[in-house]
Amino acid sequence: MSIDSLRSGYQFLLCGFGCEYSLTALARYLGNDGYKVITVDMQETPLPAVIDGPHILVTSQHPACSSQVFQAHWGEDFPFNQYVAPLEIMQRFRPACSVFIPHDLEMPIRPEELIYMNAFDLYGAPAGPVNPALRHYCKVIETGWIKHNGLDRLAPDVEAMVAERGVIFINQIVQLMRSGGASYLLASYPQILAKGLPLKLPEWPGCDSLAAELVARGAHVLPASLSSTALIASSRSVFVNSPGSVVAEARYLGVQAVILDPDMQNPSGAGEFASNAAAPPFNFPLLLESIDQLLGAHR
Amino acid sequence: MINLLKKMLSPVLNWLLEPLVCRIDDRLRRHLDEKLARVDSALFPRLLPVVIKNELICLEFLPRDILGYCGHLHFIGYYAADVALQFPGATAFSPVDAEGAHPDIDIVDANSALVFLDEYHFQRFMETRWSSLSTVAGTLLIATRFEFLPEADCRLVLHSLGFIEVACAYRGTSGGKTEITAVSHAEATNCKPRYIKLGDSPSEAHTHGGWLVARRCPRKTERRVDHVD
Repeated sequence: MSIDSLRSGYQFLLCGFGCEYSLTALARYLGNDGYKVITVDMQETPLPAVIDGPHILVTSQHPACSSQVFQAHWGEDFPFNQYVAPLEIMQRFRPACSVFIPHDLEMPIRPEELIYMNAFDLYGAPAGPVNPALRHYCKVIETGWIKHNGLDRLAPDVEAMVAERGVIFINQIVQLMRSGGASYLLASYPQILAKGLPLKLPEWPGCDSLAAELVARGAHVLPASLSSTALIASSRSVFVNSPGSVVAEARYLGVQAVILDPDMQNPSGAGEFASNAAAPPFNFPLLLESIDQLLGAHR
Repeated sequence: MINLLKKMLSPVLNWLLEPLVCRIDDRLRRHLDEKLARVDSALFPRLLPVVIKNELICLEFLPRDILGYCGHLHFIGYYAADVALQFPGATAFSPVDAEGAHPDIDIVDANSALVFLDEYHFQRFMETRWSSLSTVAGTLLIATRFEFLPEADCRLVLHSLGFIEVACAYRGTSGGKTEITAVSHAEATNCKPRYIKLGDSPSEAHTHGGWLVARRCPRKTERRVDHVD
């Protein structure tokens, strides 16, 4: 089965929720290359009721979390009530092929999620060692990290700003909002105002109003939709308020990451980093060839 | 000359070494016999009559309506063959018939179901298979009184094996629809059971043991737009 048949015979259904949706660049690549794509960031839009015709599901959501557990954690109000878990999406639409591309480079697959990977046909592994047990559950292809893709570009002024000043990524957003939101953030990390450190919030419900409040208080807030990896790659150094995927991404790209702890006088470096300026971008052709092979084998 | 020496020495050596060889043989044979006895005892539970009795009781409350929605059924238990006859196309495995561990089950279908007629069989299945049950079947039914594992541990095990939803199924002696209660989903970060809905007590007292139903995918809930299978 040729990739042309893939292009003409299938649609791609890309799903995720908020900051757990890491497939924007994939959607752009597929669209530019003539594939039919349906993108669903369930924070913005609900899942369609019906998908006509054969399709390939690509998701970056945690596979071991059901919709009900998700809503038990986050509530049943909009937009959380739009969340549908990957297993349930598969149950509903019966895709011809299912692919998992992780949204978190620090821990692409949690240990307890390992067994749930048998729901997928393909796993696009980012950099780093892959648990060999995974190969019992699904086909593993080493595509690289989806957010390092050579497609995301920053505006020149943003690129110049982060190259000079760096950027601070804010994690643990819910805890931060509960602790006092903008006031707490600016008090805990005075560098934001003192040094004009640009700030990036995650794409998550509530962050819009937090961003507006921070801007009103004089902080420089970058759009949440900007590619975090592109920002990291362009930055002199990145700062975070807690360990997470950003630190892993910075390490991957050979950029220094500093964890700012409000209780500590001096910030701590986020461990050793290896200069990896030659980290290859995400291998889109490999992903498509692997899907093509799988679909061909099923016929 | 050498051949002559060999001919002379051979019977002497045989006479000298025979008791030693026999003693080694006896020791090895005892070791093998002990090993076989252990394997034997592993195949048959010490409480065999209890397991058989549990099977017979739980079979009265078999959730047939749930099984009706599944594709291929595979029963495991001492009465597996008898039950399988009642479901067209079903297969069965009994520990009595097998010489060793469970044979490989070629079911890789999300719509298939494995039915353990007692929790003892579930335990033995887990001990003798290396691959996870969720790579074999989409649904597990386990007749259980939680004598081997407490309910919370049992649910944790099932969630860790890739069954995202575990529920209790009760079907009374008067027949009718099976009631589903105490539904838990795997907690996202550690697979511990998170109860979605703590159901009311079943209409008939749950005194005869019940069934756990474990699914790879959650049941479709009423508040979503459901698609007919």
